[in-house]
Amino acid sequence: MYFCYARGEWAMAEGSITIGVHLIAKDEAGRLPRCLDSVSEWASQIVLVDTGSSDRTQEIARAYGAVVVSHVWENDFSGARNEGLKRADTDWVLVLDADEELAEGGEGLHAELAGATADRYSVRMEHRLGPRPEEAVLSRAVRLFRAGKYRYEGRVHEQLARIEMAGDLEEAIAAPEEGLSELRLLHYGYMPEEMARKGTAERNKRLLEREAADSPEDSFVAYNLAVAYVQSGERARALRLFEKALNLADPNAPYRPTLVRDYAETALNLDEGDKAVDLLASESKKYPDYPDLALLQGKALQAQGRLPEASRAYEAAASCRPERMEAYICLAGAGSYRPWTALGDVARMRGEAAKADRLYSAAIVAAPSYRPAWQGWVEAMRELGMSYGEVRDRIEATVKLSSLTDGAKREAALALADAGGYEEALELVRTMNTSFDRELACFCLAVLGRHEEAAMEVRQALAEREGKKQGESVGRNMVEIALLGIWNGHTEEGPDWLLSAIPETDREAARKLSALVRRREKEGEVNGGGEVRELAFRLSDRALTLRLPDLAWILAEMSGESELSFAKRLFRRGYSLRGADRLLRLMQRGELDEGGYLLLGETLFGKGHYSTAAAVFEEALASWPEMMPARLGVTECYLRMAVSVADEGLRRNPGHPRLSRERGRLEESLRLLAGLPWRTPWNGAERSNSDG
Amino acid sequence: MGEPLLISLCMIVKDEGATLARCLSSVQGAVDETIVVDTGSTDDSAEIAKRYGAVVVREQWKGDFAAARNAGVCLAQGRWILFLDGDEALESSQHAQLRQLATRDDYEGFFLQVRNYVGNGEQGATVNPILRLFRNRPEYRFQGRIHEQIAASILESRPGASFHLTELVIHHYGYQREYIEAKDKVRRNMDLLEAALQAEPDHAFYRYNLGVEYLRSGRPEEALEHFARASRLVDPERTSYAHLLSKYEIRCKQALGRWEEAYVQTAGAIRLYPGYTDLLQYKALCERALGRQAEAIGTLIEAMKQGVPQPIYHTEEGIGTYQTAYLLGELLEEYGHYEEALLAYKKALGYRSSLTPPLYRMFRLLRVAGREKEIPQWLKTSFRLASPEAWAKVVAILLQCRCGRAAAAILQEKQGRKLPEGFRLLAEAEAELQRGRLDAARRGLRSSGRKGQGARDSALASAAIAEHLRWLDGDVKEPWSDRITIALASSSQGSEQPIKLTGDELSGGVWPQLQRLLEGSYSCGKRQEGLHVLHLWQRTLESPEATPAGADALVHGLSAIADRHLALLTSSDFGKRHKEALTAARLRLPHEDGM
Repeated sequence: MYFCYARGEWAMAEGSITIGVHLIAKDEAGRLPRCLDSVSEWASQIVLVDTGSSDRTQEIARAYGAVVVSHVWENDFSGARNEGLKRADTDWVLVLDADEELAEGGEGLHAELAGATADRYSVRMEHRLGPRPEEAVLSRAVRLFRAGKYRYEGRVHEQLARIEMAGDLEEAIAAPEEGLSELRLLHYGYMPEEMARKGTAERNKRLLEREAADSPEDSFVAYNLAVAYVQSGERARALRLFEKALNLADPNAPYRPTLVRDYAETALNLDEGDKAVDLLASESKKYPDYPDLALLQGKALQAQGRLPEASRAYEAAASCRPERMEAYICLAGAGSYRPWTALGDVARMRGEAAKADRLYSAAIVAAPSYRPAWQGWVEAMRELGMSYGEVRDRIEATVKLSSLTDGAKREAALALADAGGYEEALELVRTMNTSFDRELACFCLAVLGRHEEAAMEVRQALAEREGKKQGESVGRNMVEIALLGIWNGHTEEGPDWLLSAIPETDREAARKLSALVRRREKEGEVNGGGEVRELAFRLSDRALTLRLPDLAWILAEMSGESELSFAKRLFRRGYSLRGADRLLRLMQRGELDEGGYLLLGETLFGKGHYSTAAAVFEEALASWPEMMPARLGVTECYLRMAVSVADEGLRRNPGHPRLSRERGRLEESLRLLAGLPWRTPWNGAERSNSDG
Repeated sequence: MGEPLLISLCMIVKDEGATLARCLSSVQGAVDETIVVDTGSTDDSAEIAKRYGAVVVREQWKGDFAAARNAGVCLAQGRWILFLDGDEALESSQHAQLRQLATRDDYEGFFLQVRNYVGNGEQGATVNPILRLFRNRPEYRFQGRIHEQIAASILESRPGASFHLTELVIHHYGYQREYIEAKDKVRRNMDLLEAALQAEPDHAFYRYNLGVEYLRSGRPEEALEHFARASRLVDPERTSYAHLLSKYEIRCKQALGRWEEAYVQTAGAIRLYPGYTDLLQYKALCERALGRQAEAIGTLIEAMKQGVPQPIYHTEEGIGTYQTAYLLGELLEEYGHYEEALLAYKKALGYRSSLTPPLYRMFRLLRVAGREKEIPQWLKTSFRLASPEAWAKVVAILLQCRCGRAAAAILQEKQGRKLPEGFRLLAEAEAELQRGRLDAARRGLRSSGRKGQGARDSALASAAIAEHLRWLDGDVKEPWSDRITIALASSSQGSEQPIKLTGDELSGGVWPQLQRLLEGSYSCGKRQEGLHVLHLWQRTLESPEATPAGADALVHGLSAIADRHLALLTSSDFGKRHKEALTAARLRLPHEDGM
């Protein structure tokens, strides 16, 4: 019979099993309560091994009734943990870290273990990587085991090892199975702010480097060191170490699939897609139910422009069986909404908007705040010809906006704004429970020309700035929006109240620029001085996103930007007609460069004047033969011309077998070339600027 | 007695009233007398013939075409005999040439180009050179009751007789009638079967045959109904044609796009008829259509292992051997396994070395993979191409696949030197043009022009090409005489109303010439000229007389130019990182496949 203190409650358990919670910690006074609160109700014993805290860690632990063991830190995690295990007086032990908490499953734990046949259990781990729901990695880890049967081995990444005891020989031979518990632990120590606060990455790295020096042929150490390098930003070093670790690894090592995953992901991020493709081609076959591998394979193949193969890989990721996936450490959504979204992107590249719509909406239902899916879905719906109102209605019908979290609403609103649906975005922002997205509201109001209201938002934000952590940068975006509104002559009053909100370093430049803009109104062209150039350039671009192209040109001139550069920027921001106009004038003056020719060709292409576009591209390629987008563009011109020739031929001779077949081949070829995009990737908002 | 008669037209006719007038008016002014043997017309054929001044002879039909023709020939008084059928017409713009030929002493007979218009005429025409004009000598008489011949008789009596191949055209519209007649035959069969089934609705074999007729007429939906009914009536294990029934049912479903159903039925049929390789091939086609390419490849490999089906099964030629190997190659190519695809095509050739489609695919694949230079060596080691004809065929295919380099290499080697002069010089010029070497191409043609009579026909062709290349080179020293260059010159000189190609110019030969010019312009870096050719072509296609062949050729030309750009991309840095995607896109472009 045991007694345990848990916030003043007594629990007497006659003949039923007891569970103890064990931790090692150093200076965790901040996080300890959250952890212990989640288990104190039912834990019969809490054991904390303190490895040298200088804060109130021990005191807090004792307040929860914990047994506190002071242990001198010897760079040995296993040693520390085993110290705690020695003190266990319960039947079962649950191992936690201070940056974890029990999320669910505590209530039924006693009953579950009472009838246990196994002597160790894996529990579900949810490693949060960021504030958004999809920023998590899911895995299983063995954290629950019978006291006295196991000990830890390994200095840095401790592994459970079964204690061989005489008399236990029969049990050992019988090889007890591992149980699967539905217990779920939430680990938030990998969140960026936590990592920064605790300096985890640096500490791990140092420890691991020491260990690697001791055991250079240890694959597991090499792997963990590589991960540490990735975390500290030394990706090239990490890549080499991943390769070494993989070569050394035992083919059946439990960490091998994750090693492959991390290796491939690092290669892909370092733009060594070829390596990733080759690696994953062989490895994904060994782990057919590990969705992360298939997902990465898809991304690597897509980066090489191989859409059909990428699609197959994404589909493989989406068909991984959930029961089998649990054996692996998986990124959240790797077997569902991530590959669905990727397939949606591929469908959109091929012009299959209806298919894309189906895929994206499924992804959103599964993960309502997944940004890539929102961005893709809204664009796909627009490509299907839906009005912004219809888009909003469809969203409502699919996910019920009122039930979405603020985070999800924000993503939806952002996607609507990026697609040019500013009214609908604004509406949605206003339904958010907290008012933290004042910036988005301000932006939408400004684009819609409601500058007075936009300015109002800025005033309120400035008033609230005190309580905000990142008040300065938030304020800056909005301040600039308001400034531009004023300069465009949309509000009566001058900018003084705003200028005081600008940080000192830029205030003078802003004041000068403001005066220059006013002067220009009265006097015509004006020369901008050196100090204002940078600010003017940045504000010029912002003006374009706010649909103020004329003001943008004024500011561009003041920044000293060339007409050619401005023309290209106009184009990039979607003002294709204005941009093309300027480019044509520049061409006539002989001042066009390769980038300019490319954009002119693209404009003609966009209007369907394929043969003229081809001529422009050919002209440009004669001078600049390495211009890849122009070559892809000219290829597509000829193929589209061939399509219209075939179409006309088929109109006159319906069902003509040869022409039908060639038309089919042209379509297939174009579909394959969709994997190598060359056109400016406008979003809906930018496309809607082309009228202006 | 006036001038001796030069040419006698001799015809045999039965109920050709619909087309006889067209025929006879086409020879007015070309022939000096017309003799029509009427073998029993019931329409106004005889009246029409008399109206055109023909002598009409009534002969009783004895089932002997040669006898009927000879009845007319022996009455002819001209130096030469021209024979036509009632559904033919002489090319009216060539009368002068015809009479010119008839003044010659050195030949006993002339071959004319008979153009057979298929279907309703839009699908283009096939052309066969046939002996239609021969010296009127008493010993020259037709032989053969059904497919009557004259050449044999000439050579029998004059073993050293020579004949000449001309460019004179005879238009034969009769295939359109044969097409209708064939349809009538099918209709007749179907009527018979339907009647028989009225009497015996459960007669499985009739129903099966009716299904076959529907399938042949391109009506798979109705065919399927009948096949399905028939299969309910037969014992699948005891009926000798049950496997065929199964196969055709599957084929109908495939034609109707019901691939999942077809797949399921095929799987079942394979269990019933193991060893019937046709079914494995059909299964692979289903898997391919359902997007399961990897499985399709596996199935075809199995089919090849199985080989030709047992003799009890009725199969198609090539299943289990070359047809299967070729299909496997196509699938491997689609899946991006190019090495294996090449092996599969080689295997197809191994089963039947006279096949050309695998050669087309291999040459193209090697060229796109950047391995064109391997072709000449491979041809020498893998094939025993003994005759110059075989080498000529291979060179022609290489040129069609745009493997100018490989073609040039072969032409310069030993076997290339043995090829007929005219052909070799033209081929070399074509190869150089494909490689973008305009000067070399022009040089070759200049020397070909000096060759003698033996190369006369290719000389005509090479003269046209030489002029085209001269235009491309900007060499305006001499005036233009070819219709294409005249039209091009008018537009490149900036004429307001540039000349179009029209009418007769739009038949046959002009499209390959335009394609050569278009692709040649771009390969030689003559962009402006290329644009002129393109614009001329587009204007030409606006004409209602332009055949679909013109559109098809332009599609190929534009694809070839696009392919050239993609080839340049592949060799850049960007291309190295996106090689597979670029190669896949290039291989899907419209291309010649020899089918």
